[in-house]
Amino acid sequence: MTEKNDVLIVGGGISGITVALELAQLGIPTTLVEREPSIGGLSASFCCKASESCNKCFACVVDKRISEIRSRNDISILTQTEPIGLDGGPGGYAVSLRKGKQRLDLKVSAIVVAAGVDPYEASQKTEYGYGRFKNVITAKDLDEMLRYQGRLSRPSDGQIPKTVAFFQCVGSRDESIGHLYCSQVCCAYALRLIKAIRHQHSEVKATFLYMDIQPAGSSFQQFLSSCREDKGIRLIRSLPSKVYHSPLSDALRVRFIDPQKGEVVEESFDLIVLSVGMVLRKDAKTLTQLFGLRLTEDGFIAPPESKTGVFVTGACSGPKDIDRSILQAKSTAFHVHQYLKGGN
Amino acid sequence: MDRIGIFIDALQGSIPVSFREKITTAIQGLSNIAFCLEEENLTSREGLERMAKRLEAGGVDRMVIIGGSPKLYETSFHKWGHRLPLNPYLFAVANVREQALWAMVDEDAATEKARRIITKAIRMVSASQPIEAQTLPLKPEVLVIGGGIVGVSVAQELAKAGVNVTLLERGKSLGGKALELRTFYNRPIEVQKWMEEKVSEVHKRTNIHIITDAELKRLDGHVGRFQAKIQRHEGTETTETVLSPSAIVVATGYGTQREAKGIYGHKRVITLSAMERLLSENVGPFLKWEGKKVEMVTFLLDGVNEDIKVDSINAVKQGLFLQETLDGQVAILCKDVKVAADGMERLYRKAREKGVLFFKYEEAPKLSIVNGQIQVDVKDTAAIQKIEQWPVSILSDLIVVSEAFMPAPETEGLSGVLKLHLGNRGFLMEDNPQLLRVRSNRRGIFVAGACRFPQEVSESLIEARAVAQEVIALLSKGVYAYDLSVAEVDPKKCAVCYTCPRLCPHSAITVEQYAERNVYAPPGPVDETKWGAAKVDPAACYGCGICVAECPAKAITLRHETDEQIYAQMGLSE
Repeated sequence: MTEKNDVLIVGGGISGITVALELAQLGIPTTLVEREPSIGGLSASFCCKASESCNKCFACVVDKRISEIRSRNDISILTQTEPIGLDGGPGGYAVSLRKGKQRLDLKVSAIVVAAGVDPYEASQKTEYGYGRFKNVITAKDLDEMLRYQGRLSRPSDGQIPKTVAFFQCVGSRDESIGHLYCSQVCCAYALRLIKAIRHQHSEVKATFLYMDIQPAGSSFQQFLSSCREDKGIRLIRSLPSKVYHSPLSDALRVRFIDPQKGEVVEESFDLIVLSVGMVLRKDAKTLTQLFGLRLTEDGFIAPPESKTGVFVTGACSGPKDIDRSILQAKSTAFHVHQYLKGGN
Repeated sequence: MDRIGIFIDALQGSIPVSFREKITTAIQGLSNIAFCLEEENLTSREGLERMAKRLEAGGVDRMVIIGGSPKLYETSFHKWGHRLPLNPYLFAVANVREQALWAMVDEDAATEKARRIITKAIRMVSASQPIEAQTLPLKPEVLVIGGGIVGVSVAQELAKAGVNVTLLERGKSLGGKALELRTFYNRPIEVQKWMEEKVSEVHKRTNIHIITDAELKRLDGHVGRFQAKIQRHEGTETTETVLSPSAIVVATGYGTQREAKGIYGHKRVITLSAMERLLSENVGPFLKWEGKKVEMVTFLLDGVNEDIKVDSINAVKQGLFLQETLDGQVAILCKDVKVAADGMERLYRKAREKGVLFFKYEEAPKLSIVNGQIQVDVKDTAAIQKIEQWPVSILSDLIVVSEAFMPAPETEGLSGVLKLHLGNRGFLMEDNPQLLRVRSNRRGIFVAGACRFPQEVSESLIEARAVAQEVIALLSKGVYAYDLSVAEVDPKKCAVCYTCPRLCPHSAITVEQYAERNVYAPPGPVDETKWGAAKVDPAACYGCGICVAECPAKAITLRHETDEQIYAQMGLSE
């Protein structure tokens, strides 16, 4: 009856990978299905954000876990695969999977949903001009630029921008779009990006426009003080209202309130980076229907109330950074193990 | 004499025939080569099987693969469950594809570089020694230090998974600081009742042994065989027990310190935990303080604990309750509203809708006594206003301030006993992505909850289960397998200078009695009980090499990274 103990993990991001690795350590075989052609999910495209020293961004941990899972033979990884049907109930599920034109059937006794998140679609905030102005990018675009091109450049002309503005809370804590939650990671994420950029190009001046700075972890205070001491970083408590394109140059004018003066001001920046929040992956909604899961009022997946053998973990259950996703995945693996053992 | 077998991996044609021919010619002159075979793809199952067959046929005792990145082969060996018929340390990879072929434009230069890489790899394996793997039995026995919410949860989870737990508590009873809470911000649960149920369940478990009024005095040994000396105080009597757990979980929680200088010592200035107590003891439709109705309450946050979310969460939770249920008016003054917790933004908005006032300051607000009440002057940076309109004055019946979160008083002593690192402000462990949150600098010792960093209860509970998972993953196989490619001390050369035990980040080195004489022993008769040598515990060693570099007597070597191997690669004889 070894087959009965199999666990299906839906989603090959850092959460799904961690659950699979942890269960493998306990001798529980797993099948990891991922919709995309490669595993790693959102966090696999993150770059190392170290400046003089490590800034605890956890990007390297993801890379390590990905190479670890590839070298194991007790975890079967199915990419470009998605679950399309479910039969059975608690104790034994029969899941149908679709891989291209192929159909696969799998008998499992537990299912872990780690569907992950999408970055907020920044073009919906039309006032910031993402998608219309070349030099307005998202923090994720910047992260990928640093990871794959290795250097900072302005999309319009490939030059290094002299002034960069980071807008916080794009798609988070925003009643106008119905997002009444904090994405919890973007403050530290954007500040780490600023640090990494300033380390590489000390001539780049950064402006961080925010509402409240959310702390992240035990060394955050030191990190934040080092940002405050840095003369090239301005932290301004004010969310901009609008971005204007200037017809004569590639620079962008930004309208915001200067809290020191108590006035509305306009300032010009070479590059604008939007710290986009997290939303549940678009395609995860079909999964919730398939597995009979509910959504929370914030639009993430709620954990099932009774013991059904279906578990939810990672950022799809609410915004999380890599650190907390790994932690929760370990805790979920423990739950799954207990469930399979029939303990309470 | 060593006989080296060489495989040239074409990597599915990514190393072209012409280049392979040049490599073969370059190798021909070298001595000790048993054979040199070409393979189409060594990372495939079939390729590995052919290689294994050839090696089993005998005649070789070392092996070199000429091909791509060593990682490629490591991964596929693991993946196909492939066992080399020879010791894995007698094997090297010459990465000519990435380091020569792809790195050089000129093919002759590439051939020359490939030749050098191959020569190095061959010299390296010639100087290598086989290293064997070992196992260490692990008993399902764990010591949990700290009987607060995290310690109790870890014990509970581990006991469910069939582990024998000893739960050590310094105080008289279990429960810890969670008992000071009235409610959680995100769950409608009476914390005290919930916690008491948890504690009584722990008491009922037969595989949890609870020792109260006790502390850890001394810890010897390493993962799998710790020796923990526990001292228990009963009245005036002190008893000692020695336990031998396989793993240890530290969850000693936090302490608090209150600033009470000047006006902060005024009776109308109370702490968040005192307010929590007031709210839970209060009966009636409004909050009473010294017999009178409390109209205005001001929370003054971020004077301390700026980076800890808990205060913000508790203040919003209490403020909302005061405003909504107890007919009060609440103002919350902070530097940043910390809403980075699930459901917190909604709670914050609800508080604002119900009339709780929020002020964000950068300059510390000023407190003064006006008609027996306390006036707070604050410069609000969040509102659009001219500087002349500053500051806002609030007259309050009660001021609620946060207490500074400190490590529990025993933390520093405990870190010495356990040889754990102290991080910021004296909490246990620093943020280290490689160790995640719950591992420590020592294998087999885990750190969880507020003794590492104070956080919200639901997050601590996730941490508790993650620790349980870590411990079960370590203990479930019943043995710990490790190989001996770690640091090793030559007792004949060791001067017992204590440099290495002090420098070892993982506390894997201890000084033990050793029968052999020391090189720096003074002339005359040798007292064998007095002189010892440093000893590395191979199961606890991470192989970082710090001790090797620092040993003044050059008594320590890192196996498989020995000086001989490095000199051999460089073509230097020692």
